[in-house]
Amino acid sequence: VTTIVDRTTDLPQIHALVIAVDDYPHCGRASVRTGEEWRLASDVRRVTCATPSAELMTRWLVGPANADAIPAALGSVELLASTGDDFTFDAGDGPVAIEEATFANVEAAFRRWRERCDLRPDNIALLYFCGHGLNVGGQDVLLLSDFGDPRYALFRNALDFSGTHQAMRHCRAEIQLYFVDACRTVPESLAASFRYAGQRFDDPVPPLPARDNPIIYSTEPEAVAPAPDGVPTPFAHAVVQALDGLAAGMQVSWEIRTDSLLPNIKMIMEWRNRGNEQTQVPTSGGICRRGLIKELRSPPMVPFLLGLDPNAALGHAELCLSSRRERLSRKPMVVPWEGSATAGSYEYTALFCETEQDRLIADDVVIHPPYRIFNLPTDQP
Amino acid sequence: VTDVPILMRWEPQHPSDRYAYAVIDVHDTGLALQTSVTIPASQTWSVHVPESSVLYARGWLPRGLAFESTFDSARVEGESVILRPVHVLGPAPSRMSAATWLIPWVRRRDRWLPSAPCHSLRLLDDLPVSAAPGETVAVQLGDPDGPSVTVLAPVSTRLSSCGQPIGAEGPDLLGWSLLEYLHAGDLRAGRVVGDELAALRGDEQAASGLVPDLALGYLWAATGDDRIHKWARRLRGEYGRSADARILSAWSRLQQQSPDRRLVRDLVAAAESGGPIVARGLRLLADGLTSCAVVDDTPQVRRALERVGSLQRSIVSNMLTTYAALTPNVPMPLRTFGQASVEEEIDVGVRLQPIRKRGFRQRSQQAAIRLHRAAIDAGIRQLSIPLVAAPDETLLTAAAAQRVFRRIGSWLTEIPAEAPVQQALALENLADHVMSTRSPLSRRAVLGLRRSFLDAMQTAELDLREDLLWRPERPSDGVWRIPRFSLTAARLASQRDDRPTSSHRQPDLGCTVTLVHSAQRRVEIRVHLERAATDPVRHLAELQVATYGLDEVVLIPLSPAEPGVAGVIHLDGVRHWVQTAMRRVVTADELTPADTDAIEMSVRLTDRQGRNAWRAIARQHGSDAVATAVDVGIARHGETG
Repeated sequence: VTTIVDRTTDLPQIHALVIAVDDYPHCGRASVRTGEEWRLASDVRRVTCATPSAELMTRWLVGPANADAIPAALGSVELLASTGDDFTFDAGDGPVAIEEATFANVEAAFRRWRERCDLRPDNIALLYFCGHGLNVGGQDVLLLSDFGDPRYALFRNALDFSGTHQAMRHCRAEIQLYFVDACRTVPESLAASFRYAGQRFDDPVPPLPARDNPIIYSTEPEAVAPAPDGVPTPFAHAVVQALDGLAAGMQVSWEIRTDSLLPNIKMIMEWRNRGNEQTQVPTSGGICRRGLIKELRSPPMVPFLLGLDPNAALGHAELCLSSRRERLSRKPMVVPWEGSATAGSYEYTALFCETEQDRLIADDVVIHPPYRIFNLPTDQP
Repeated sequence: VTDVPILMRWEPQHPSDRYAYAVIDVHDTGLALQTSVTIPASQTWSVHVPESSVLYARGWLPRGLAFESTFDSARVEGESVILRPVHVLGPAPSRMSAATWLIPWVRRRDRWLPSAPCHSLRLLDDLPVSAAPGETVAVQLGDPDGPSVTVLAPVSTRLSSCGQPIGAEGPDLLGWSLLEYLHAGDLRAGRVVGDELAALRGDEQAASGLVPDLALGYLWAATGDDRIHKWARRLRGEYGRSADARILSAWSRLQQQSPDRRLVRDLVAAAESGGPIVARGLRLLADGLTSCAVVDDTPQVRRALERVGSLQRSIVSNMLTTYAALTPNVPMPLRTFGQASVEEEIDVGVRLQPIRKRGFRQRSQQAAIRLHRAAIDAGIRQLSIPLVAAPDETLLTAAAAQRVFRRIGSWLTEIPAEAPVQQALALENLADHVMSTRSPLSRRAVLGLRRSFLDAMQTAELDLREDLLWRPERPSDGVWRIPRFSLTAARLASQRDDRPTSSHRQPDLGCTVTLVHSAQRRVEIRVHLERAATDPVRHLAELQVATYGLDEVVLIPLSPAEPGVAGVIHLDGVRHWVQTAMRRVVTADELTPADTDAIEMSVRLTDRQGRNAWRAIARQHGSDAVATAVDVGIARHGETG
């Protein structure tokens, strides 16, 4: 099974295609063909982060946040995962066995997904891929699980993502979101010999109407994407958090629009990786028309890191964050205050309990998605 | 609510921000967006905001959120609201290394030709270029190691040594700022700048120019704005020779119609004119040509796709089209790029001044080739600037190649010991490039050239060894210094082996160090300790490893369970050579907190097996510092996807 949810109606809906490829049974040591171009198949190794990343994304999609989302509730989810073992997923109706992400399976799921997306112009199409990727001759190519099958040409079971993305402009869904969580390196063995690689699901036959079809790549061209062992990638976490509210901006209501995705995903990844060297920089492609993806019913919860300047004073101060609706506080501790608060304007106070009289320092702090870091200046030691 | 004007200002925190326009969002206390404006650095700007309200302003630069201020519009009358820097996280700007020299090339017929000799960036402020205003110049940038990248820029641009345009004014500056926001993927901020620019452009009194006009076109293409259709027609009319204008025009028409001859001609001409100056244009060009090929796959379109593909394979992330190249005509994805300080960029900016040499266009191809060869000769003979304008594959005839190689070979064998080594490295780099270029020479001729070059290199290496431009710390006495591993020599010496290997054994230590040139810019280092096979104690080999820009001490765990290697060190981005020295062999128990830097670096550079060995060491070792260093190294490893 790949269709784990199908609630397609004649209302505007989100239709998702989620693909995870951890296992490449014809690659690595199993690769039997020789020659310069087939060296690539030997270099492709198994990863263990793709299925957890896809699970994270799918759990969010089928979760309560999308059941009655505005302007488009969840309509359907196609999930494919190659783990090298049996994989089941429970979308609420009991566990179902998930099909492998082979080229044929992915193509069949793609056709079903595209057909549903095509039902209405106000549908939202969402594609998430996690696995190995390449950039061959400037085109992004995604490697599906039967990549490197010695019976066929090397790239027979690889997806020409750039061409397929272009061709999807014929689909009626005005908003199409693509998240590519894969490397975008140029294989040296192919740099000079290949112009285009991979198979397109459809041809980009002109005229190609403009769509709001941003691609958010987890990394820059010619860069690799981290593949942590057995856990979702930082990009997958950031995408889910962004779509769940941290990419929202306030107009009349809190809204997530297509043009806010990339800057906020970047910032969320920076927040999640704070304290470490920032090396992964998500980038974008496609057209971005500022389409409305989601309207939040309440302001988002925003992570914060509040301290004092100098932070050495933290051990002597009780910290408080207060607004008309919310009041949060923390006893004196030597580390900065990490927490989350509803997006909005607050008064941030530090109360120093000194021997003769208490002393209060305060400032206005705005907690705006996707995160807030602030150090309140103080003359305390 | 009535609006009142208030004054607002921000000060740049970073030298490169001096030329930026910030996008300022003003929110009310409920965080609802009230207005968005653009404000240039260090200028006080009037902004209309709701009267008598507490407001929150956030300022964005292309690199992200940068400033903020909370203020009451009723209380700031006459005073400026100064936006203060925000504490944000973020990656350091990733850019190519700063260049030290440049050569401007201009487009003549279907080729780039050098328009001026090589110039040191540190000596120049203005550089005359044989091009008319509005024409595109291919600026070849390089460092002491040889050519690095080519940047396509409109003539009259002031360009930094990292290929960034700097120091423009007026609408030009707004145009560059817009391109920067587009490059960063911040389309929301881009729209605000674009609205400002469109308002200026609509004003008959306002000057417009190629860059702001193209920037608007790219914005409207990226945001699917319907204004692109009319605008693209206008661009095509005003800047008929601009590849960017042709691309935008064709791209707009592809949304509305099937490709006709004029559309295909525009795309093919854009590819044949060297490519667009704005990097985004290259993607549109490739997509446009692919769509045309679906309908009618002519040889013309295929050739254009090949040209674009070769640029895309070598592309370096930048706002302007920038690609790694031997010469602007020969893109080659060979170099890795580090980071450059912004101060350096600003310091060495150079403006390309347009001049039109009379009769230049009429020069024959033969004359152009002579000019090209003169540049080669200048590079080799003068040696005052470590540059060689390398021959490209179409100009490299068999006879010319013989001459160039002979000259390189003889020069290298005659190099005096005190000669500046960077020049030799530049030549080595040139030869490295040339030999990996597809050339019209026969296989036999190439093999002959390779052999003669190898002889020359091997002789020259002796002179070069102690005088490298970049010197790692000299290993102290008593350590085992392993002969330098030269990639060029190793590659030449083992033409049939695609993983050239060099092994060195030290009988006293019972130790063998093996260096493998495993990929284009990668070297693997393995250590085999004979007693590790029988001794139950886990040993670690401590090595000093140096290559250009890196000089580190690393520890390689040697497994007691299996004879030989437990871990492998991978060095990426190696360009010329690797120098190694064995310092000592220690047991895991002998590791101390003083070794944490070496442990962290070693874990970062090792493979999965090595990381597993380090995990085992961390579990068994009593010191938290060692365990933490292993954890940090593992966390900073990554990049396997």
